[in-house]
Amino acid sequence: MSAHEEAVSARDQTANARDKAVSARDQTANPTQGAATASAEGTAANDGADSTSPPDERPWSPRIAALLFLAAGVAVLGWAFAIPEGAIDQDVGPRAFPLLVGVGLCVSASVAVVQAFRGSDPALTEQAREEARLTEWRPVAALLALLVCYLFALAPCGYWQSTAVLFALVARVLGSRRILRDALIGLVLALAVYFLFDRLLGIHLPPGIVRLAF
Amino acid sequence: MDVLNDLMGGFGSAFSPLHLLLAFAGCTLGSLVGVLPGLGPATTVALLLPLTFVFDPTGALVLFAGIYYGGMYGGSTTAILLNVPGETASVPTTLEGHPMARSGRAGAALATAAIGSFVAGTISTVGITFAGPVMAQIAEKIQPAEYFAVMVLAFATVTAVVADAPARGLCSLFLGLAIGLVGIDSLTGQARYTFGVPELYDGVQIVAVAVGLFAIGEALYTAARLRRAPEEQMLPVGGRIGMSPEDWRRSWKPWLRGTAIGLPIGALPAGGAEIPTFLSYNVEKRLSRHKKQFGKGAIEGVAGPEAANNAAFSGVLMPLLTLGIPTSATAGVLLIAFQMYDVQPGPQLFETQSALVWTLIASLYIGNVMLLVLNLPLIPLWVKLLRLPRPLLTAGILVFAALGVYALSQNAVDLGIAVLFGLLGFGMRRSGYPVAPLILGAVLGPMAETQFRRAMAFSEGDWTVFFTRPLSAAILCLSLIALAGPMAARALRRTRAREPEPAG
Repeated sequence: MSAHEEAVSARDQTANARDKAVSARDQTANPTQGAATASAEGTAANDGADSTSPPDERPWSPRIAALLFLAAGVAVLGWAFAIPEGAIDQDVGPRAFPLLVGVGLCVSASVAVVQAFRGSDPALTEQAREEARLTEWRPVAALLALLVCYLFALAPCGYWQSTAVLFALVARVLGSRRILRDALIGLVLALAVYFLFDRLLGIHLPPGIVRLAF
Repeated sequence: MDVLNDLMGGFGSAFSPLHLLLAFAGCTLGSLVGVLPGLGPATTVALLLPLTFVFDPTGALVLFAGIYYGGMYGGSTTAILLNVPGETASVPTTLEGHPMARSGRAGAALATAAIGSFVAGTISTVGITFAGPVMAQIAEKIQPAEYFAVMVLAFATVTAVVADAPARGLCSLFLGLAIGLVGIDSLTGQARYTFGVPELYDGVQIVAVAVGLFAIGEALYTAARLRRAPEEQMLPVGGRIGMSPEDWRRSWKPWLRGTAIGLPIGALPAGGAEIPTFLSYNVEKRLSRHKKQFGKGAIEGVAGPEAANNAAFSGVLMPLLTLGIPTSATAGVLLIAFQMYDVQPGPQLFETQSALVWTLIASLYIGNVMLLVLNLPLIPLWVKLLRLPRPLLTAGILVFAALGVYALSQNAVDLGIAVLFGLLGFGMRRSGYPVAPLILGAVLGPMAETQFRRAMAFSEGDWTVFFTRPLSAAILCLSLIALAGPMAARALRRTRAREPEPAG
């Protein structure tokens, strides 16, 4: 129970002192990753607290999503025509099924677009409104940035090193304030996974520049 | 009897120390991950895929059988104590299980869910044991046109069941099919949608897709709502986990009825677990002598749906093993696991991989017993896990998701794909698009195309072949009904609602 409450109160504190938190994070973190997090949070900061739309206006997310699906459909269809049709003696070449899929995606996305723009699905509108009210974009952007940094850091920095940092920073982004504890848990977890997979199970994980002595 | 001999052989192999250990590890890990809020069985199986890389196919599948069941047991714990359904099929459990927990009867709810799952799982496994080989023999005679039609039916039912709006479900399905197209065409060697990226010639790594959509998507979703969404309240288990004689009296019939509903529907190549659980809930509500308790914590409403859920889950293995057709997201991920070991489920599986199949089926029996004996006493331990701070849980999920994808190929490109699909899964979930059709489309798409082209080759390019063969035409009609039926029903309700209600 106590750990749980701690997390909740820690979260509130973070909300108040978020600016201080960003600078504090940079000091503890691997310099490149910390900078990336900070910048990602900077760009997403505008989406902060008051992005909730007035109640009479429908949120845009269903419309945007439907349009994106339509765009994907057009792309699938367009590139299907770029597939060279195989030998003539074949009844169905490599292009037929992609065409079918492309047409299917275009048609169903078009229906979704029409529905979204007419707002004909009140349940969806309600859900989208609720999501818009509850969504904070900052942690999402920060997590994505962290993951991208992680995938580039893995090979040069090594598995357990990058993973320990990733763990601590993700916990930090999500509002945990006990950096030392998180870093320690991250380190133990990363080392445990590294030894289990790389040494015991024989699945190679990158050792990084600082190799382990054993 | 052949079947019994085969099964005995399976048990012989499953009782080897290594396989027993693997079954135990699978059950434990499955419950461990499945109990985490928001992680349903599909996510659990996807997250734990990499653990199996080191074992031989049989060992890996034994491990998976445990994870599969464990993930489900874990899910019902979360549904009851936290009011968070890991997937749609667990919704009825939250309806009655959570109120029970709130009134201090969590122990009874957890027990009836676990014992009901055991009863249903065991009966269903017996069903698979005897009906599986028969179904495989029938499946061998299926022609490509019909095979394609059956896959269309599976697509249609999964889309219709998961989505409230078919258009959005179909968007998801077709996007999945498109993802399945990426790579070198197996018949002509033609590269499709690869954009000159050599890593894509073998197709999009489907494990990366699954882990991205389910695990990373879930982590992003949690992250986005962490501060603003109301925290789910963890209820204490309170008292011992077990049932009073009255609970037993009220539970055993719902268990059996749930099994009777779940197994056949799950075993159809059009199943999924959602319909049987909701159906079972409604049946129990109608038959119960404690109707007034429903909504406030009626034990029948936990016993029936949980049994139906587990029976359907086992039933789903039937089309998966004999036809190679998954009918739920979890089965889709399982099919990925099979394919990673070059085991292609389908009509021939029972002949070519007989030992493997029977070991798998035997370990389903063992897994069921293990979960009942080990899991019920361990529930308090899982509950402790739920008390971990959310930031640490999410961080852990991300670490393991990344590990799973990376360990697959030691390739950062796959990790990038997983992150991309994580973003996609997050976006789809936020805007009301189901992800289950996408994963099924991506997994099953290549197979559907193969059957489609085979059928077309037999008919010498005649597109009408799917409609002139009676069986294929009938199955396609069913698919259309499955998709359009709910829509028509809704339209009908709407017009009726506009008319003035007749008196009485």
